[in-house]
Amino acid sequence: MALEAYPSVPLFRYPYTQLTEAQIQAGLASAAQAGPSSRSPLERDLAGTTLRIVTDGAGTLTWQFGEGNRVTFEGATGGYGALTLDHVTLITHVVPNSTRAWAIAWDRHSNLATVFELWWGGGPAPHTREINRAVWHGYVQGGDGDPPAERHTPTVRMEGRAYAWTEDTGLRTIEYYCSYTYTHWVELDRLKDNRGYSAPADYIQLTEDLYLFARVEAEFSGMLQMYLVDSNRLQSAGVRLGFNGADELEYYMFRGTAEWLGQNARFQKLGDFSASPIPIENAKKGERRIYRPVATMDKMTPEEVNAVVASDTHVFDRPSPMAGNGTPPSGALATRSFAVEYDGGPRMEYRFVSADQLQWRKDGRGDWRQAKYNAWEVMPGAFIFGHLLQGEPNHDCHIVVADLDVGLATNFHGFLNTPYFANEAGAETLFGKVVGQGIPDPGSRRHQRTRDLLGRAFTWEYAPGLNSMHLYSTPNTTSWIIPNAETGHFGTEWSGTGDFVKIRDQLYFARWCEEACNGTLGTLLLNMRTMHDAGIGYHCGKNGLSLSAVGAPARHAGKFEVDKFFGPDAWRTRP
Amino acid sequence: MSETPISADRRAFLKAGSLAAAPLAMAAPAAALAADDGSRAKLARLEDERAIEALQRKFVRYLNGAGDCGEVIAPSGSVELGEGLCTIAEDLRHEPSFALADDGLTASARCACRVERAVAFTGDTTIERMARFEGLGQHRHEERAVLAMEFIKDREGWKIARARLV
Repeated sequence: MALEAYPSVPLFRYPYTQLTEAQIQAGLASAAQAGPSSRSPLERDLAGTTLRIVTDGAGTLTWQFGEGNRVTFEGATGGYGALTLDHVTLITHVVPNSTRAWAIAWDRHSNLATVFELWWGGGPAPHTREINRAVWHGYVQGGDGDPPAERHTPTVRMEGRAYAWTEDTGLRTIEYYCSYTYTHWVELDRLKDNRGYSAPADYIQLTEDLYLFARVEAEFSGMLQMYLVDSNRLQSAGVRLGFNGADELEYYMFRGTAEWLGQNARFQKLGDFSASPIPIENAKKGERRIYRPVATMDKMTPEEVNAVVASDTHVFDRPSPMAGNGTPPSGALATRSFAVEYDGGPRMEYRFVSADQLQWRKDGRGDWRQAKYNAWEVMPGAFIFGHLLQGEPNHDCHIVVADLDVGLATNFHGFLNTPYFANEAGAETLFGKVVGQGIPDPGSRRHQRTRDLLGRAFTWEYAPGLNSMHLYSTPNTTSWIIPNAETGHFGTEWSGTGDFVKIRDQLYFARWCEEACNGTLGTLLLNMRTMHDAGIGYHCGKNGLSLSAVGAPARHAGKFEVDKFFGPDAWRTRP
Repeated sequence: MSETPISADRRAFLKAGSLAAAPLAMAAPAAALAADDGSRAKLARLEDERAIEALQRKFVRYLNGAGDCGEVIAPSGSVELGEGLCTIAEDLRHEPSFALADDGLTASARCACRVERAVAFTGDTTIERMARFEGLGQHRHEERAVLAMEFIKDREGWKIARARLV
């Protein structure tokens, strides 16, 4: 496909070029001399200054600033850019004839400094185009006084916040700081699909109200987005550095203004402000935990899928780690019969012959087929049930919410053999009505997509030690964040396609697709009155095809008001 | 099988029983056996009680790593304690219960316990993969449970017929 700076397909589908170090150095050459561009005036008051920063871990680093935007570092002279937010100055430059760069946050009041050493190639990132960073805290040397004992520090204080940023470039981004090591951002202008994406991030507290934030768009473009945040004035000053989807260098500084969107709950123990990431044994410089799910995902051919389905299919026949705290299945559908007529989809006839066996027939054709199912009555009269459609070429499943009190049903129809990986689950949402004895006819009424969940976050306690948080960040995105079970620090985060349907007041049917990430279709029927869900997971991998239970108590972590940022058709997704 | 509760309060029973048992044991050969006024049966039941309590203590010690549980399990016995059991300790805040069958050949006991388990996240679900990625390959947690045990007496003495955590 043609290269696109900001792809028209989801970023996890875009074939980013594997740039070489030579290509990157060539791409950086002019920027190293010219320095970054900026819509806002860059500052020149550093001329004649020698900035000597004593760091914990990288020794003493010295920058000599000359006239104009010239800076000399380790004997090489090039161009720099600087912007000050209140009393903290962000300085950045690329080292000439190298694949190295630096960014410095200098607090001119305290003389404390945080230095980001940046480089491409040589690891630890497995992709050369992905920028590496090492973070060094220290202070600016000067005067005769004792060196300060204080340092800027990693922080959990930003965790749970969200801002809607508008840069002086006009570009708008919603940034959800859901974790102390990850972020989730939604580009509202350059990307057109209303999706959110997740990336590793650094959160550094500079003062009570000033922070330094940096995300590296790992697994995608590999670009750096770094900015100072003034959390009282809701302003930023930052830099964007790296190679976009068209392999063009972006190197510019910006100022931004924010709308404060809210603050979700944090789940560390009260009084725990620790924010040091879980250490990595024998870590390389700059190494951190960056989730790279497509690398570890089973990737199977259609033939391999057919074989594993034939030999190793599991339908609610083994304990599910996603349902250790789930509710038991309901037998209340046993002996009932009804049909579900989907708009633009099949007519599914059902005979529920027992608490876990049903017979189904599609479009009135062929013999009745027996299938194992499980059902949960999540609110009186409202059921979620799921089964495989054995014999269908894509090994389909139907995961259905049927509200028998009103005769409405919605189906998250799962299937394999997507164009990307044969074992990856795809999904479509089908709306329909339930036809059966004693079940009201809803006429043309149907369940509707909802934005009631948009911007909300819930924690899910699936089983001892296995917890997560969902953030429904856009009308078509579900993001999930994994905490340290012992400390409550939410860390690694990822995201995929979501869809959200209102069943009743406070009863919602939601799904997430783990595209290019384990390939699971996850579904849940969330009862916000009981704060519990029941759901079904559909997964195919080398260990087989499975339908398994999902269920956990929930905590409502908060809600961001983001509805206005998304148009009426923002739920539409392109795979 | 009919079971006659000896006492709903095993600890109270044993405490009272031990007080009574000492003089009884000393006097038993002459007085109790000669009179056969039921003292022999009482003595036998007390001995059963003590044997079972010792067996239960030994079982818990063995579960905590002090020995091989197979030694105290009947050949046809079953043990269902769930996955990842690390430690088990009786919760002394709760009174245990005990029942010895009329025929003196079977018994049952229940006691509240604190159980520590370690669950290894070895599966291929995304949440397990991400937990491992976060450096959490397993999770240790404590839970409260009831250790329900059934005992059977054969020619070699008392054995555990069934033990389960409920």
